[in-house]
Amino acid sequence: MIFPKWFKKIFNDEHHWDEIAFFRTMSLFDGLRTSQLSRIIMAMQKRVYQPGEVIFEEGQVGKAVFILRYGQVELTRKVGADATRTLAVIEKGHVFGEMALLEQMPRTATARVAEESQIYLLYTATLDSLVMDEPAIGARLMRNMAIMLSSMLRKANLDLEKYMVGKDKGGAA
Amino acid sequence: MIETEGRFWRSTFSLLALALALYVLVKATAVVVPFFLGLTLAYLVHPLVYRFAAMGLRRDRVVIVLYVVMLAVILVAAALLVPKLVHELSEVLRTLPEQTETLNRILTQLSADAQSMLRRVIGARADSIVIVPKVDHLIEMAMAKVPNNIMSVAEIGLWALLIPFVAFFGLTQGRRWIDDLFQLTPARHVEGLLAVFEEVHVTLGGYIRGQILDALCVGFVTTVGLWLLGVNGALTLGCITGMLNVVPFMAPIVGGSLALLAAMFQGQASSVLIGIVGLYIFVRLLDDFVFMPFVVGSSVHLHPMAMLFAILAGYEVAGLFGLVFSVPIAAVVKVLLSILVRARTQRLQFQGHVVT
Repeated sequence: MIFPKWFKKIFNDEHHWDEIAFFRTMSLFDGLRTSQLSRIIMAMQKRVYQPGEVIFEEGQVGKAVFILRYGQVELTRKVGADATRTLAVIEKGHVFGEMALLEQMPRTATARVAEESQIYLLYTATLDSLVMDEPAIGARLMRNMAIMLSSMLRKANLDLEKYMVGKDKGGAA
Repeated sequence: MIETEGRFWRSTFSLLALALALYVLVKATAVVVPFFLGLTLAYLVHPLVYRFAAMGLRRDRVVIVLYVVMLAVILVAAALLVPKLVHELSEVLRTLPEQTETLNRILTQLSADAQSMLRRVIGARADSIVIVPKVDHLIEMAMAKVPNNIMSVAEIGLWALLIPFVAFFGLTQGRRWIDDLFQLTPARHVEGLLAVFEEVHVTLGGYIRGQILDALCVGFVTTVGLWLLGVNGALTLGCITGMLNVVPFMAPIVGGSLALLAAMFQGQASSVLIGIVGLYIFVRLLDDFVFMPFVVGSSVHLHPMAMLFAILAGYEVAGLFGLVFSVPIAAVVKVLLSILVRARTQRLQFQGHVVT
């Protein structure tokens, strides 16, 4: 919405526009109008986590999606009784725990904060009710989610292919 | 073993702290009420502020403008409604002696009829049993309480200042308070708190906004109905019925009784009295089958027995305040319990589940 300069000076919420600019950079929110993005942002809670804090644990049923504003989060998975393997390191501007959007299943990894991080939390049922109110938001988000998942699947296929080729070579040797 | 013991002590301590907090709240109801009402007002107005904040406008400035607009609306509404209400009230006061006489006559007649019936059954002893109070005695008793009522008016005046004051901070800083709450919560419980917070918010928000709209609908239909029946003071009685509708079952019982009494005072025909009974039954049915499903929606699914228990318990604990807030509090308790049950079901469902 276009407001006159004097109005902006009095009423503009700089913090809100900063948040909008940040979320605009994320592929999950591609194609959403500013008003739609605003509604999603305002439905979120935020928290600053300290290094070592556990955001969620492997096996817990996922209820929320997390968005990293700044900092670093490590996703690990148990391999055996005591050992863990790092699956990924999440950097600022990335989403994690997004599978909770699609299904209420146990988490497949533990998320632990590596550096002080500010994280936005979006409860999946809240997003559902937002989508019920404005289906266009849901359609756009689901499309973006599908694109993200498809690119993850493509990467996983390539990794699997590399692994199989390596195994074949190892077997031949 | 040590971990189980730790959990036991933590749970015990949490429950004790909760019980202590509830005890203090109940004991200090009189102090807590205006703050609670202020936060409720903030909660009611919050969707409007939310709309403007979502447009990238500063909350505090939006709230100030909103307060100015609300004050203007209240002043205009008062300018329009107060003369009408004062007129109706002065009409009641003007005809009070005459109406008292009419009612005294009716009561004396009723008393005589009842005594003659009783005399036929128990003989002369009936004379000492039937006592019908004279209406002028009741008015004298009410007048004797006027100093207390003036004190109540002073208290309400204080509340009228305090409630918008608290609501202002709730509206401008509520978001920060919520962020602080999440910040203070241990990291591993944040996701759980988020679930509780959002589900309570959806239930409570829907219930409160729905109730207000429902009360407006009930008040409007009652006013129109009483006006069509030719009852004087239809607007006042309609407003009272609408306000009473916030407390379940109160609108038809107390509101209907007041309307009947008013009509009797006014010496309305018996067809009007029957019409009033019919109107209140009609409004009740309209409320149950049209307003409640479409306006309040499915935000609160409470069994009528649970609702009745909540209302009685609320009244016992906190009087009128308890009557108004018992159902939403019961709804919140129900949401918390359903979250606990769901969490337990999911834990059992996924116990031994191979994470892939």
